Amino acid sequence: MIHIDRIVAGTIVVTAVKGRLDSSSSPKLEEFLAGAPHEGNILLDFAELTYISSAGLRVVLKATKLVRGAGGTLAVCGLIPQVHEVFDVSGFSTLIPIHPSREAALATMT
Amino acid sequence: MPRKPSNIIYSADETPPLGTQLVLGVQHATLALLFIVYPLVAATEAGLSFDDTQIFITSCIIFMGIATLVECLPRYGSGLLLVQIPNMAHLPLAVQSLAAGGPALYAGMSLIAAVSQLTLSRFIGALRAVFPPEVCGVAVTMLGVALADPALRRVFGITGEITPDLDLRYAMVSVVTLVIIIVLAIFSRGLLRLFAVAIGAGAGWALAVYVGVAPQPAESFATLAYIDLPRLGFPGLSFFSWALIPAAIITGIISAVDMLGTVVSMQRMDDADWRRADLGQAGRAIRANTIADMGTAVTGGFASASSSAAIGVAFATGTTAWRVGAISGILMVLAAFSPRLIGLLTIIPSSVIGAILVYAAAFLIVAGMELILSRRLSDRRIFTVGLAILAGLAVAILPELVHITPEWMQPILESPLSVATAVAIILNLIFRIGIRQEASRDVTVEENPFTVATEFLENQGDLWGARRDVVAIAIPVVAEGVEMLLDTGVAPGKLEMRAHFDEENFDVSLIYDGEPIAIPTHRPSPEDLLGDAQAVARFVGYMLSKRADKLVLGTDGTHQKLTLRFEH
Repeated sequence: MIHIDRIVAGTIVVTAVKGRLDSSSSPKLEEFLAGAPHEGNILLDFAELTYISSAGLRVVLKATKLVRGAGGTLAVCGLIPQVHEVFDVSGFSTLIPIHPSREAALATMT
Repeated sequence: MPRKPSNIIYSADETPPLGTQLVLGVQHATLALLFIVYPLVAATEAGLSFDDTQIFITSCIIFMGIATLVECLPRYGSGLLLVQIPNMAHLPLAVQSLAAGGPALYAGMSLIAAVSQLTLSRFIGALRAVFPPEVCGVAVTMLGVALADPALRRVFGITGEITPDLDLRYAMVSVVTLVIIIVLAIFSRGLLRLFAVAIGAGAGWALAVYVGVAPQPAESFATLAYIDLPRLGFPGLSFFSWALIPAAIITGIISAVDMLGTVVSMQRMDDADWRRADLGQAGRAIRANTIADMGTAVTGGFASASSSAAIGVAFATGTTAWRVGAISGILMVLAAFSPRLIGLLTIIPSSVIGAILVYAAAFLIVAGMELILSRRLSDRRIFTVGLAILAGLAVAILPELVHITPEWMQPILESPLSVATAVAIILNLIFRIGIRQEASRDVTVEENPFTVATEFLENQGDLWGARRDVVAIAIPVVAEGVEMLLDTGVAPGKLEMRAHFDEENFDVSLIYDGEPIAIPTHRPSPEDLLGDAQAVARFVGYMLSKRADKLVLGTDGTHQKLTLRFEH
């Protein structure tokens, strides 16, 4: 249902999420992000995320607070239109930087 | 106002420059006038005299022009680019009635056909359930299939039986014409694209002359006047043929279905967000056609109907502006004043016309498939479409089957379009039996909301023939609503998911025991997602209200009811 990969690209930790992020799968991402260092910059690559519910948004919000608390930045990239709509309607797109692709995000965040 | 598709340069309501309107109008009028070959065939088969044939053709052209003009006008007609041509469906009726009782009997039968067409058009708005997109799609696809025979015969220069000594010069002219039209329609911009059909036809005609397959003008051609007053006749009316009356009624119905197919094709071509047939608009077009047909009948002419070939021209030139059609209508009426011009059109090489018909047929076949696939297909719908198309192909491939049926049935059974559409209508009505417009299932907290919503809504969408994009939008929104209600405990343990479909709306209600939720009008802070159950419910409720077309909170007996509406 969900597959998570971590890639370190220079000073940025990229977490790529595939599948659906809902109430049953978001604890896995929450656990994954909690186990990662919060210092530095985190990029959530959602290019292969097909669905996100409010439970998924909650995990993203928590991770943002943790990273910012440690002085870092959290951004997301590669949103498909359906997921982008959720970020827009929920107001998350004004809260979290959104980049069109991983390459664009890395170029901006580096 | 419909959203213009990217491949359309001038849409229905737009006004191209006057010069462009004129040249496009000439293209449409010329193509339409080429089809006077149908009444010519009928007149020859029935052995009409030279004078009667002239009246037969002249009346047909004048009322083709008038019908085209009225059909295109937004207030009195459809406001679409519809161009009339002599109605091929009238060919059997004309041949039989002209032979049996002369022009007066054909006038009477033609009038009956017009009345039956008019009657159907009066009720067409109430027949929405009879003409869902897949039935319209079958009709449009079969319009294209029905063009295949006349198109391919012209492409290969076949006039009777196919013989081994096929003259490939005809096919060469057709292929060159077709390639030029397609290349200009796809790869060119501006004027070249607008005149794609005229350029292709001109080049094809020149090639036909060069290779020696262009027909020579008859000796009488030189004696035809450049300008002359058109001759109309009043042959009287005769209804004394009980054997032909059913054929006349059926011809009217076939003509109405044919018109419906062309109108839906134009609506679809002109609107990037097309959802369903505008049957009111189709009814206005059919009414304009029937009134012109009545005029044709009493003045001794051959009936007309909107042209599927013109749809191909509209697509190739990227222009669906109604003004172009209106100009072509006026030009057709003017053409009736020039016997020399009409005579000239009869010598355009048939392989050039064949190429234009192949282009139109290819477009219509795919346009019909697009219509069919615009809705989710259940097993019932797959067989409705598949069997209907097979039935249409059966009479096209095995015409001998039609010849063993009673004579009065043959006019309808000879037409792949009418057979396929009739089978589609009947199967659609039969397969609707037993399908309720409302369905529900319980969802428990142990189940995955997204999986449940996907399975339930896709299954119901298939049964109801709902639009794919609407079901795809509804699934994540409904899943979000279910997840919020169950996970926050607002709906303790379980809820009922109830879907309702009525063609205009796709509604999904979530019914549960518990407290009502509040939907804020302003967006709550994302921080609410980290708050208590009611704060999360408020936040998600706000999101649902923005993502569905409408959110309604209410009660169902003693239960709470949250309804998400998706416009269909």
